[in-house]
Amino acid sequence: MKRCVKFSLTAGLFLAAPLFAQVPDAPAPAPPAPTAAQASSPQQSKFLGGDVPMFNPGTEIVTWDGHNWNINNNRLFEARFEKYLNAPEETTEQDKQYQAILRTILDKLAPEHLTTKSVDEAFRLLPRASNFDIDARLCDGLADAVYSAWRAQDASDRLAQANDALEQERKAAEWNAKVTAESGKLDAAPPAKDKDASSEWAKEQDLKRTMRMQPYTTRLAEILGTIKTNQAKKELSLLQAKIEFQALLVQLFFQRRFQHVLIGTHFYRAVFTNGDTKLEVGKDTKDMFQKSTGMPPTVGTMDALANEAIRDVREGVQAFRFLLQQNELESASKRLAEAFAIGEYLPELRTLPRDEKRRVLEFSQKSYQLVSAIEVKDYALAEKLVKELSTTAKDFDTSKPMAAIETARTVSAMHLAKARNAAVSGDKTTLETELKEATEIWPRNPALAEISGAIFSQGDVQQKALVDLDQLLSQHNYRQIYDDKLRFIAASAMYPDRQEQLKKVLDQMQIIETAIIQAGEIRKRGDYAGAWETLERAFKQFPDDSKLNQLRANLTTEAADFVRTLRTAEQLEEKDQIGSSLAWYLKAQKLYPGSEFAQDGINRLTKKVLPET
Amino acid sequence: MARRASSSVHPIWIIACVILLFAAIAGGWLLYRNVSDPYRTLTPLDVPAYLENANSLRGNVYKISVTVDTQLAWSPTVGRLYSVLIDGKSDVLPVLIPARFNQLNIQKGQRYFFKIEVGDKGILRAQDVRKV
Amino acid sequence: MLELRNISLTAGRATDLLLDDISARFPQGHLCAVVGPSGCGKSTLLKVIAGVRQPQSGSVHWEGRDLEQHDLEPHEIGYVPQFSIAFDLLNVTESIETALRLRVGGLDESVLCERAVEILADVGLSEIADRRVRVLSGGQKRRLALALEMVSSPILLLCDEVTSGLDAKAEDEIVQLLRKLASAHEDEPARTVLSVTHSLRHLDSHDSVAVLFEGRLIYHGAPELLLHYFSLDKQEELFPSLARRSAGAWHASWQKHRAAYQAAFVNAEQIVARAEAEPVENVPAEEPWKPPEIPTRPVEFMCPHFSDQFKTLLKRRWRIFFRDGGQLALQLALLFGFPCLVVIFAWDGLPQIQNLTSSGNVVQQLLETAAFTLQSSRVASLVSGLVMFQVILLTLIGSNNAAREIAGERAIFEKEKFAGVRPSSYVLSKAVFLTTLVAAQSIWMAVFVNTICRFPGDMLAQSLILVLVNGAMTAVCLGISSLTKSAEHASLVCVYLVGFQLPLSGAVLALPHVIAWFTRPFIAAYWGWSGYLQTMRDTRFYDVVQSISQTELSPFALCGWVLLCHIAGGLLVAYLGAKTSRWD
Repeated sequence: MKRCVKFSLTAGLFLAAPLFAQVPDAPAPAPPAPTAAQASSPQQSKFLGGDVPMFNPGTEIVTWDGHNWNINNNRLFEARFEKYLNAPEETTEQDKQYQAILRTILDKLAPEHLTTKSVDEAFRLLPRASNFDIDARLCDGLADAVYSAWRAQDASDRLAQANDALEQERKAAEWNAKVTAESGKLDAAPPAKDKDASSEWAKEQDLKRTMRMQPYTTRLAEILGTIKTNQAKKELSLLQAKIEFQALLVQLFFQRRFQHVLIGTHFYRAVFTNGDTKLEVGKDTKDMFQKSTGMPPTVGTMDALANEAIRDVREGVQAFRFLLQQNELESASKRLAEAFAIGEYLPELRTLPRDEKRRVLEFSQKSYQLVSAIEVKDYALAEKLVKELSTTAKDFDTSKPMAAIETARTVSAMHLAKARNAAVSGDKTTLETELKEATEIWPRNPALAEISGAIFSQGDVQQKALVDLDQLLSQHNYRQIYDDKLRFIAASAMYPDRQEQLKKVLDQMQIIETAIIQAGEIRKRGDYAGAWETLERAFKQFPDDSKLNQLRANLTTEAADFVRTLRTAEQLEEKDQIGSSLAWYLKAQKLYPGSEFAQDGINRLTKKVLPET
Repeated sequence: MARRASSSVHPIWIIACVILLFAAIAGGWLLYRNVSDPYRTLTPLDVPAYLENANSLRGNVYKISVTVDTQLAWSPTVGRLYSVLIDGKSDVLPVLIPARFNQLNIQKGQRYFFKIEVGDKGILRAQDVRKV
Repeated sequence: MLELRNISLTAGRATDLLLDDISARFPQGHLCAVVGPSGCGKSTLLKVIAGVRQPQSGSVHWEGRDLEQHDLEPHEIGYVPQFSIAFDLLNVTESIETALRLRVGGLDESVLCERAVEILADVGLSEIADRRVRVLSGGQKRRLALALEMVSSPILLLCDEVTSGLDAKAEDEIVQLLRKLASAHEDEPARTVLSVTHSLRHLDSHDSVAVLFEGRLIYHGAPELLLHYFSLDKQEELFPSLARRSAGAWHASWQKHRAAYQAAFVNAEQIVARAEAEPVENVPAEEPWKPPEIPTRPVEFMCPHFSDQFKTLLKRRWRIFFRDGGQLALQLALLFGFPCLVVIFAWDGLPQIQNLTSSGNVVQQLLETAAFTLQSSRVASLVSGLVMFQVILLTLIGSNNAAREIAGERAIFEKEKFAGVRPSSYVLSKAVFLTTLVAAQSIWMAVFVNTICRFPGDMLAQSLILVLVNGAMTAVCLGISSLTKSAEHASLVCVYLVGFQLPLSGAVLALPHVIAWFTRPFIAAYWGWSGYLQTMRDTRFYDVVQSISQTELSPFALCGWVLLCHIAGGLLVAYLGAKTSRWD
């Protein structure tokens, strides 16, 4: 809860900081009294123009005015934090002197030491502190506010005396009016029976009374008005001084100049001794304070908050140093960033060694780079950074970034696969959609370029394939068509006539290929004759196929005996030498018992020898 | 000269026995030749010549010793056509067994001597059939 | 006169002298007792005289002629060996008659019978003429043996321990018989009879006594001078007294005194003078001794004809066959039992064979071929087995037929051969006898198996081949029988021969070609098996057997030829074996 309060306040301060930001080297602005008045005016309903910022410590996201900010990923914050991390530690003699002055001022204004003299001494130290650059003339502002307050107090005394005189006059006017009212006699009473007439008579009597008191009433009113004006003037001058002082305190608080806030609150108590420490701020600011702290906004609250902030920063720095020692850079960076967000100007932060800040800077830069890479969906770089960060920082949680990276990679790959399939099947619509999806998810996916290049080039390929198909069909080069069938199938998917032709060719080639495979299997068993016969049968059907011819020629050599025997038988059969032809067929059958050619030959010749069978 | 009671076989008998033995062997050999080859006087068929050009052998009569392989065809009037394996070789020949030998129970695996004539178109016809 | 001149005989090595320089003369009409301790060479001397053993040196002369040059005729010499020379299953008369028929030719039946009666009367066996030899006593067998030798009336009779094992009375009778045989009387000529004996009791009944000691003749002279020569009181002390000196000393001494004692054969006075010292019986007369006149034998002595001997032998063999109950029973058992063994395996006949078809695809053909091979191997095994079984059984029968045929009666045959029986007649009679058996056995086997099992093929041819294979084995075993020394030995060899028939036939396991080429001609079983299968040539059985068997089948004619050659060879060997003397 306290953390929530702290961060809410921090977020608010942080977000408001751009408006009030005071870089160390920038001159101090003019007291932003009107601005503060404007800022605190309830008529301007929005806090800095928007809703009250809400911080969710779980996600470290601040929700404000419909936008989400990661508290650790805000460019402005990044820039300032980075500048801080690069800045050298403020451990010079001047810095030490400045801090010493501030400590002295606070010490003199401490309640236990508070006297008129200490106040004056403290007041005298303010301009000295303002001489240092780091102070940004804020001590001067404080000094002016104190002086104005003292001047306002003098003016209000004179107005009080004038009001006393007017008060006496008022009293006299009031006595005169009273007497006048009582002395007047009224006319005879109205007739009691007529109500209308009674009411008419009452009205007439009142009118007469009023006319008689009018001069005294008018004077009384004037006196009261003057008293009031003087009162207002008195209050107004004191109030104005208080408001101006409070505005300065609020400004310093928003500027996270907690040391100056403490100095200011101490001076405030010393100047405005009526005990009224209630801050006269706008409704929105009041609401914020109420919601954040649960207390009405007072100087004391601001004092407490400033002390709290200082303590928090101190603890944050301690935590940072410890985490740094443990090499838990992520946590250390966070702690440092939180401390920085709260108490940027506090000496605990300003005196951090530069080397330590450098480590955090490097980690932070990489973290920001990782966030950016994920933002721009450069997952390759993101993965690289994740690896580097996990090496550098022990406590760096790689799960979230890696999950994001892997998810993106997977989904992108899925879309690419779908795109590839769509390309193969010719579904252009799906192809484009999926490519787009893949690109959106991971624009710099290396596979994307490759596939899309291939796909895009496919369109060219398809046309070429169709041309090639036509050419090969005209040449009757079915073997080539078969060898590139995938390409042609894909290309002719949209052309039914070509598909028909292609199908016919492929069917024929299938027969040949089947025969070739069969022959191959038979050949593996050592049955060269059987293999040759298988191919021979196919050859008789398709004599033009080169591969078939080639294999047939090879097998003719391997099954030379059988082929020669068969050829001889056929030749003798042609010469009508039945006996010897039959003998050769029988021999062929003996060489290859399953030979259909031999069996056919035997059957034919047997029929010739014994026609009656 | 030995006494009658202690006489032994005269060497002439040994010689006679040896001669008889050789005579028996010779006789057996001649008998074997005659009996084992019933067509002793016929020429064995020159199978390579037949396979190369049967017409050149047309009209000649030869002998072959075969093992019956397969019956290729059968006609009750013409005869039976068999494929036969030539003994001692890897050749297979078709032989037509005329109808007059129909009573012979020719089965696969049986061994025969054929007296064959190379007929028209190189068809081998059996003129005589004897079992081995 | 029988004259021995320096007979020496060694057993094997030159130092193993069985007879050492024996010289002696034995006149006709002379009975000489040859005595000596056991193993001194008495029987050996007789065998040398008979011609059974050939001396390494010396010679035997008869009537001045060297028997080496011109041996005695069978009818001139009689030799009664130690062993029985008569068949147990014949009776006495049959034995004598058979001997007459075998040794004496030209006798008609009545003369022959008469002669037999005479001989029986001479030897004193008339009363037991019809008694079988088996039941004769020892003495009776000796008489019979003498009777058998007497059928041819030999002029030289050699008796080897004819009195051994006899009682005193029987011995006495035999000696008297010998005495009688030696002396000429009636139509009987004087004989020279040499009788080897262990008994010294009847030496006085002998004309001379020849004493052998360790193969040396140490005394040959009158029995009455024996005691004087050896300085004995009693004849029974002779053998123990021989131990006093070595055989060589005795021999040397005899050499010194031999002439005197031999001269005593012609100088009766010296004999009488010597006899005065010790009375000696049978002192020769005072005349100078001269050989008594020997009535010459009738010039005509016919040796029986070959055919007569053959018929006699055959007839005798059949007679013995039918009288031998055991042998007859065995033959009947084999005749009827073996065929039954064969038909057991094919009682239901031979299974038919499903043939291979020539059509169908390759796979179907392969399956058919496999089934056909299985079927045909079964059938082929059955058929081939049955055929070979018949053949083997018949070879076993043949072996049984002939193994002991000659070897079992070899001694008798040698005796008979010595007495003039022709080996050819003998072998032929065996052949004919066995042929009858073989024919009956084989034909019955063929017919029985063919009828019961319905064996296919020509029954006549099958019978013929079985006859031939049985005949071949019979003939070969007959040859073995004639070559071997004993019946047991012959049986053993024949059984081994039968045992080798099956493995070497190639019917069960094919022999390597080289071995088969060498052994097959001699294995009758192969030829019988092959020839039998050839009779089934026209049947499928022949095909399957031929296809399954790794042993090639030979043609029928060749099988017959080879078996005939076996028969001829066997008979030839049997004849040659029979011709060879084998007295041991």
